[in-house]
Amino acid sequence: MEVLEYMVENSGYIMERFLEHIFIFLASWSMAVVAGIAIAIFVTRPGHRKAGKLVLSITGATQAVPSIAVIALVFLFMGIGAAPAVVALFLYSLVPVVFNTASGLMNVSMKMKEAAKGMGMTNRQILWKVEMPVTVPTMLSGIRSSATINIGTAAIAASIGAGGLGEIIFTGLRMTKGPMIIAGAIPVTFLAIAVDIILGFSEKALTSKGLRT
Amino acid sequence: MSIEFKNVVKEYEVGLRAVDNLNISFEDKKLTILIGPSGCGKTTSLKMINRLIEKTSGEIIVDGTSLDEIDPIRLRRSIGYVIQEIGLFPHMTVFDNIAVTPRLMKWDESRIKKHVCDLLDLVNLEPSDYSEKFPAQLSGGQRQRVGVARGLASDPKIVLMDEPFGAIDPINREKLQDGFLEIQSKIEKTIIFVTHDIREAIKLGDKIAILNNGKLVQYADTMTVVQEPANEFVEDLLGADRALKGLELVRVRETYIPGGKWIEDSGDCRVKKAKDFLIDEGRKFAYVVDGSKRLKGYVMLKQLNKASDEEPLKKHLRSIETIQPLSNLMEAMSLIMNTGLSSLPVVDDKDRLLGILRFKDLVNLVGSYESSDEE
Repeated sequence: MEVLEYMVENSGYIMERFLEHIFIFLASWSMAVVAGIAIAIFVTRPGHRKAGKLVLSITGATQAVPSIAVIALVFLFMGIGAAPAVVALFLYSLVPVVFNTASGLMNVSMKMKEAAKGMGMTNRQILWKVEMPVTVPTMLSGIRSSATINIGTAAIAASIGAGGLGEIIFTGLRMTKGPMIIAGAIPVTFLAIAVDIILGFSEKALTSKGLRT
Repeated sequence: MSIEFKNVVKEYEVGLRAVDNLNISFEDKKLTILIGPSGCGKTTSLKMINRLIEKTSGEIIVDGTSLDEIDPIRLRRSIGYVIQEIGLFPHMTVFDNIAVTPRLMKWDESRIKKHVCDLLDLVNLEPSDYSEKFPAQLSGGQRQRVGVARGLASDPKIVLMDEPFGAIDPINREKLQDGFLEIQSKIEKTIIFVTHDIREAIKLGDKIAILNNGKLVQYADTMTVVQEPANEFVEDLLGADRALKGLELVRVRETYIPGGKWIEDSGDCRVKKAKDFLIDEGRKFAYVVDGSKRLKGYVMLKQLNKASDEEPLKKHLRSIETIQPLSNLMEAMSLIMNTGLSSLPVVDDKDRLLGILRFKDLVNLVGSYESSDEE
């Protein structure tokens, strides 16, 4: 009851933080998706095999680093505000995108690539007509988990002055006001679930039927 | 199109030659088999033709033009390439898989559609049932047939096949090979076919090229390879039963004895007549045909001796396996072994008796292969 009361009373404030949260998420996540796919493609091109393996082990290991550590590190170099938060979130959500896309691309069978080459595809055509479509399911699940991780971590980024829904939670924490903490946590959760559902649908729509069996 | 290798060498490392000074000329519209133990250079040689592997030195000439003068991408689009079933693209339908090269060559969609349907017909897959299926929904044999159709999609004059039936179980492999022979008789392409299965080589090849350690050991018509292996290596490759394998190459129509004397029974023949016939001819058994020469079965003297003369012959008829003129002698041999008789009736597709195939003749034929061995 108290939570609901707080939310109704402060609906304007919560809405502002909510939009801020979405902005931080979209800015950092979309950059991470684009950069992540590009990095994954680059390191999996023939001739970059060693780089590919290295990137896979680095990203694999980085997934175990706690998000708060990444945020703290970026804070050391960039100070407080929304910009360092976006950078930290970008770095943190880059990892699953690179990891999944690169491992997907590396697992495309040699035989299949050779068939494509033997049929007269250029390297670029092999990438876009064969390798990427086959990698889509793995890549999208990386993009999807990167989004949920990003939204959750964005709440923590409020600790370096990024704003967003995390601000409500941290304020509640300092004032030991339970309802306030919950009023901040609920929209974060909703946002994460909603984004996950939307991405789930697009994952289905973008994956070839031939890969679903 | 003919393909000529002139002093072709492939070195993966300095001094380590996968293909060592290969000189060979693949004939136009023939199916040539490349065979040998693994590491003999057969796949390397094949892939040098579509430049998936670049040769170290020497020259490959296709229809008068050196391969080096042709852009590799264009070259590959003009040569069919079939590998094991795993090479199909899982995210594309059967139709899209086959249409890959025509689309790369920018044919218009209506021409592609017609061509893909023709190809599916050719490999015995009903276009309306299979066009929209994905590879994962097909059996291994069906996938392989799609692979063959895809290899033929750009209407190539040359088709390269790298162990295309290698991953298929033996029973389906036989079927695919039979189907493929039929296709080849219709399309008449220059086909280079890599395999390590000597039976497949003998069954499919017009000519066989045997490689070992990157060198050509023997290159001749299939029959010649079977009958006159160049050396011990080829003999070993053919195996101990190579004489029997030779039987697969010969059709019944080349060996059977047409015509002969049979008992005609239009339905009212009595035992007596058959007995008299057998005694007169000095035979232990005879085939029985009806008024229109259709084979009904056979009767044995031993059995008729126990019967009374006026009984209808029908009662003593025994049924028998038959063989048709286009079957090969290997099949005939196994049928004869099963029936235990000294001959096999040869019938046409309407069951009319044409003549007999004698076990004796098969044995002589096998003997002739073996004697050439001792020369």
